[in-house]
Amino acid sequence: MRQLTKSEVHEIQTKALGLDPLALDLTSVECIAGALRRTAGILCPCSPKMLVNTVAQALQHLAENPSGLRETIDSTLTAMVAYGDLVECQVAQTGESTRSGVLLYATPPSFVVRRDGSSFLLGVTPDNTLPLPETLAKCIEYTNHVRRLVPTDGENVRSQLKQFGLFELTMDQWLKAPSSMAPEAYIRGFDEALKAVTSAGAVSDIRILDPSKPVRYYLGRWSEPRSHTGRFVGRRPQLYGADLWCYFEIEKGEARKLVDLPLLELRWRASDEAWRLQAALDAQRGNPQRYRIRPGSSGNTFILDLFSPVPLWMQRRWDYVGQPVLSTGCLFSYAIPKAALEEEIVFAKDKLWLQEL
Amino acid sequence: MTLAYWQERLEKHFLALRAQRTSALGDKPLFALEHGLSEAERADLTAQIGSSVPQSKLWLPWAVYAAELGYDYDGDEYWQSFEKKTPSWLVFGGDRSWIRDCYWQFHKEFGGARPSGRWAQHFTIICWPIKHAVLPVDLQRQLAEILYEIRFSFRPELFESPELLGAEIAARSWRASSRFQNLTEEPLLVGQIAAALLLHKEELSRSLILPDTLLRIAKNLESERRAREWLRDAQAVARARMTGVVKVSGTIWEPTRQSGSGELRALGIEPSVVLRPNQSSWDVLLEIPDLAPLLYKFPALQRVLNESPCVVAGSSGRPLARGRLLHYGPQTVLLKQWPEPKEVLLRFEMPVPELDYLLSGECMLRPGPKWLFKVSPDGVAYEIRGKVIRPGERYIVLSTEGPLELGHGTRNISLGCEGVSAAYMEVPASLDEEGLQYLKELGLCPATGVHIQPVGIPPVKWDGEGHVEWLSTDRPCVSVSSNRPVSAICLNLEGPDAATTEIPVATAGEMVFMELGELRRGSHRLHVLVLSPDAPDQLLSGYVDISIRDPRPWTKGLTDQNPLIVIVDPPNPTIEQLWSGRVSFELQGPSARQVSGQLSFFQKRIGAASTFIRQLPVLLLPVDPATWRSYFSKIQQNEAIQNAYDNAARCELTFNAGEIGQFSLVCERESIPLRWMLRWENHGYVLQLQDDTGGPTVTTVAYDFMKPDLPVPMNSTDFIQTGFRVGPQGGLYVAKNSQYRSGVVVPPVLRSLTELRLEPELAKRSRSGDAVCDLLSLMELWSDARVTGNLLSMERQKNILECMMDELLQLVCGGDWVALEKEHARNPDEIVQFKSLIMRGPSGISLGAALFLKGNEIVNKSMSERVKDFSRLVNNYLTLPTSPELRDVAGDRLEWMAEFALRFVTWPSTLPGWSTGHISKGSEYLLKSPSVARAARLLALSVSFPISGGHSPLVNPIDWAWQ
Repeated sequence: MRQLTKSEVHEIQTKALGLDPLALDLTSVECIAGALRRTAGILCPCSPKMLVNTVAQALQHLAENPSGLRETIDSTLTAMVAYGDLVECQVAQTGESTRSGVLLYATPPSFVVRRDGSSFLLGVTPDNTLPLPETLAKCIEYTNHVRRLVPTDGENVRSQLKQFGLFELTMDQWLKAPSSMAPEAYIRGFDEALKAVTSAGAVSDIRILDPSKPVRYYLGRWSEPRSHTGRFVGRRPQLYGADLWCYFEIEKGEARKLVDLPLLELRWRASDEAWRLQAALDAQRGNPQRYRIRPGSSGNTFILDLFSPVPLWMQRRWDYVGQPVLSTGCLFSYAIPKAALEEEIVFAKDKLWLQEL
Repeated sequence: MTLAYWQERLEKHFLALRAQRTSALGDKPLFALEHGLSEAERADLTAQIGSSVPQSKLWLPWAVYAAELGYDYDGDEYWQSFEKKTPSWLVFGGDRSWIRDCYWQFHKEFGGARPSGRWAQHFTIICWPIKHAVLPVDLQRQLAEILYEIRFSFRPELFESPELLGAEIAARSWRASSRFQNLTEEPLLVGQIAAALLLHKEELSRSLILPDTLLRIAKNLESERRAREWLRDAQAVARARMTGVVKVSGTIWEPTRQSGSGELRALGIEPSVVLRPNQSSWDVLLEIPDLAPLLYKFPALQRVLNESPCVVAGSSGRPLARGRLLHYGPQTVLLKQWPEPKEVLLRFEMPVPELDYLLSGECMLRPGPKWLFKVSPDGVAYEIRGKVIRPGERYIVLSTEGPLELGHGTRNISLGCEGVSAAYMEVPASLDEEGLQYLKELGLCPATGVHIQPVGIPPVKWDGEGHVEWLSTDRPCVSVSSNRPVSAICLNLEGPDAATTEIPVATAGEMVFMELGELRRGSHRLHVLVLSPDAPDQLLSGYVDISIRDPRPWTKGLTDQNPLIVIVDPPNPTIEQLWSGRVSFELQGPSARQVSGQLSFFQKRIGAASTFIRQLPVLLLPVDPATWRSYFSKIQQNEAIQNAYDNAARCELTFNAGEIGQFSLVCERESIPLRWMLRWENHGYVLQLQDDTGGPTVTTVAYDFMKPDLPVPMNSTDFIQTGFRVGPQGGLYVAKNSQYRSGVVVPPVLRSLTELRLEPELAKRSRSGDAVCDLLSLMELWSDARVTGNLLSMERQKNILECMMDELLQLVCGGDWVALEKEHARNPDEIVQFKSLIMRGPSGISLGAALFLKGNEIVNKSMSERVKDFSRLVNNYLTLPTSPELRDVAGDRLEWMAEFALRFVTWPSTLPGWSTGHISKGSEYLLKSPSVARAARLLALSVSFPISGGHSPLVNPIDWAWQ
């Protein structure tokens, strides 16, 4: 038993996460992702709020900027869910199953082999014990929420990972994206579903994404419906678990009808469908969501800044071609190699109707 | 070199080894694998054996040779390979018992090892060469895997005592093969092999096993990547634990000081209660941890945890499926009734006094009558063990002493659980004296000014106040602060790694960070005393209870933490159980998500590429057991799959739902020393018998489908040597000796569709105990027989069992009853007529009505609860005759009879095994009191009625899963 300084706590605990204390401290995204994985390995299935609170509670006295800490934990968790470490879903009720509500579940340890021979590692084990031997563990590169296994001497990582019990996801499975269509066509499916439902009854404490607010500040777009009338993407609380994503029909601030998401794309999360629907609504109003391109630190990369969250199939694609970097003046950013930038922009415009700032 | 040379050389070698071992260790056994021969020498010996006749004088090279083949044993077959690799063997008669004689000789002359245990009792000859192979190749990988799994439990004392290490390996071997478990019955041997592999300690390796032999095993392990990696990681931890353990100052902990209950607590199997909001009330949920750690300490409990359903006290649901508390991670169960103060929360169907004792100590609710829960930001309330309450927080208090006296921000709330009341409490930011008094009267403790909190990587559990749990691999750190000026902080850690320290604090309000050191598994308590400069004589104190447990090793598979979960009951089925539909599958996950399936068959038990792969139709989640049965029965229609099943030693069923999870289940053939092998050849079936019993001569009989109770003796030699071509009519073939019996239902080869219809004829039987017993034996024979891939085999087995069940009911319940059952099959509404047939008079009708009602209720109950309910009903409504014939029956005679009757009318083939010699007495009793049998049958029909869907007569229904 010995007294430690704050920096010694950072050092010891960073090392315990298997990360380099000379390069990172506990408030870095890599460490926060490690702490979230560890906590998820114990608490899952649980609500996102529970996971964030548990990690925030343990780190709050160690952070130089405690107010920004929760935001970093939140955004790291969102990125991890998109990447595939955790799955946010509602499990169908069978018999006396107690697994109810939209909760976070742990993805079983899995991997995706990249064309360059390296592999993305996904998933969380109970107690977060690493399912790989030391020789392979040493080859893992941690960049923000992404874990990439880079073989040392061109070894066949696929067969090794399978031998140790990890499941393989093909790149196609991991990167699968919905088909392209015009925003009006996309919205039509949701409008028809809204038309078909009867009155929503009493729904309280809802929040909506206000399309009249600037698309460049996502958090600022959330508001309580007061005098709003029209159709909106929003969330409604439930007693336990994450708030539900919905498509609302609102009249003078009162929800008349609603459909819970996901509605058409059951393969993905509710949030993925909601964000794409919001992008379509914004595009339809002539105020599409924006992106910005600026030069990266090296001449071979560009930084892609985004102002609204994107569905996981989009984020995974950027996890694959680029890498997440610190963002300034936007919601999140990716460094994209120069050679891949044009294709990524075309893809983003095609699927999310984005427009350059 | 000649065999005579090898005989002489090996004699000298083993004599010297015997002397050396005796002087070093006393009477410890030698193994034939410790021959000390080089690879080239082994090759020469093998060549000599290949062209030699077994001779009594030259037995030792044969013992070494047989052990060498045992070293390559993969758990599947021994003699086929032996005969293939030893051309001279069969030419000169191939007397297998001669090999056993060689080892007896080795035992007598050199003190060679003698096989023991269940496996050795079954495989009485091949157990010798395999025992003398020390650690055959297929067990090496299992040892490496277990060493990897237990690496976090390594501690110096394990390496100082190989016997302790062996015991630890034995405790963790519950997932390993039965042969590996058999090996661990000798913990000293296993511990020494393991220690030598982990630490390369020469002094250890020289004791029980020849160093060259150990080196060879290590080299083999190195040759396979996965085993090598497992071993290397285990070695790294072992070395670190041997050298790197830092002892903290303070009282040295001695293992004996930790009480038995403390050790149990360290296993982390204590359940906890959480409260979850639900519409207008709160659900009470019991979280039951994975019980696998219990096996680390009590490996003998493996069977009951794996094979017995478990009833959770206070739940309304059906018992948890077999293995649910072992293979699926922590479980959450909804409580409808608050358990009694001394009620054990888990009751396993299979009674095991040791387990009941353990569970009565560690698997209870924490003592009441009040419990405090803190409402967390996500809305769920978690128990605060120390009942410490903090201003500004929200709590729920549960009480079994009636509603709480309200006041100071409390209000009653409704719970979805009877037997306990609840109050919701919002504690104000500051409490006045009256408020403090109110809390104290409720038995709650307002928090002191000392705040201790874990910092860094979040611990496994932290209730926010007084209880924290970490893993033994963690580096626990805490922060200590106080709401008053502080001059110094004293910390005292009690437990296995006791320590004390005092820290001067210069700045008032300063937060102090402490590292607690590497804490060993067990319970600790950290006391904190805060000295204030303003009032040196007034101390503030606080404490935190710390639990340390080992991390759960990860093994491939899915748990309740994953979005996809596949519940298989029984958890480790054989391929025969899978094929005959005796396995229940349930797939839970997000609604409407697609799951693709694949079925692969393998001709070998381990390794080897699959011989047949078939993609299965897509399933949509969720999948309940009934949907699975219908899905799988369609798959079984495929002829190619049927043939693959017949030729397989194992199969693998895989479900793939992409990133939400993949699941695979491996099912092996039953490992029995007397087994049938069937192959399709030239438009007919050829049946061959594999006899590894090494026991007395086997006899064989056949039963025709048309006369299923008439045995026809057969010549066993035909089956053993070349195989026997079965006629197109098929039938049941049974081989047996005094110890073993094995049957197979060979399907007919149909020439026309009319042959599909079967109307078997049974010999006429009088209504007597002997006739009933004879029929029960026949049902056991037909029921135990293996079915082949061709579904006609299963269909024929079912037809015959139904025919026999009809006859059994005819004898005991009477012709009217059987006629009504047939009518019921045509018209299910007729079920209400049964009650008038139980017994003449109003009490029979009343019992019938009560049984109908009971049928709905007991469908979710365990078998033992069904027996209890049935015996109570029968006792209430019927005047039962005295039963002098049952005086030898142990326990409650009425319950025994109730179970006998229920088994009799549902799974009669389980009776011979269950009733241990009392089968004729039980049968005589039922003949004397047929109303008991009729009542039991009516209960069975009313439970299975919705599922059986008009199939009659009901026989071996899956919802009567007798142990």
